[in-house]
Amino acid sequence: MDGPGLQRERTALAWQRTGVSGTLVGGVAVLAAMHRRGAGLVVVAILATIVCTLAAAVASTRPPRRTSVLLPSPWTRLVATAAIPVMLAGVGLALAIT
Amino acid sequence: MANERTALAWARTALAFVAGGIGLTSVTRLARLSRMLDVIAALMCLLGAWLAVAAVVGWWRKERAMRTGRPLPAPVALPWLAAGVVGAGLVIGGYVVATLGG
Repeated sequence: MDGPGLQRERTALAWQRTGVSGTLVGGVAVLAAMHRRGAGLVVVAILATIVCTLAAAVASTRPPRRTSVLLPSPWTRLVATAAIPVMLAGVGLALAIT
Repeated sequence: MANERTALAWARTALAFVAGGIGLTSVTRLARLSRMLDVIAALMCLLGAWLAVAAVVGWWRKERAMRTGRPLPAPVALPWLAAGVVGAGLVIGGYVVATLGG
């Protein structure tokens, strides 16, 4: 069973997985939008991909802290992370209905 | 932190649905298939967006329950996720059978 010391590492890995997944899906969205030649869609998809890549990069380079200080709330990061699928869903919706 | 990881898992599930929707509509256009598949793709994207919102809302609800000592709330999005997967699979499978049979 994992001790409390591994929780930060597991959480950082979860952020990395999410960032990588978002980057991959964003790349697919960019390719699909480019194929349809929708400039606006390409911009949105690229922005979402860049944010995910940055999030994954930050999560992978930040070393796990070993102090017992209170952790900041992940609310802002979670909202930003949830915005990525919403943005990409908008891209997919536009591709499907046009 | 388990609550945070759970929310991230829901976000990745949302991304998977969006990816499936984008992939389905792309294949539909490339192979010039029925526009009904575009409707399914749009619904998959909408479900993905909803799951992403549900991830954040679910994190907030569970965080509040833990801080106030209340029982954790049940996941609201889980039945919708199951229905979405089953529904998309049935419709796409039915389309394939109908296309091969006709």
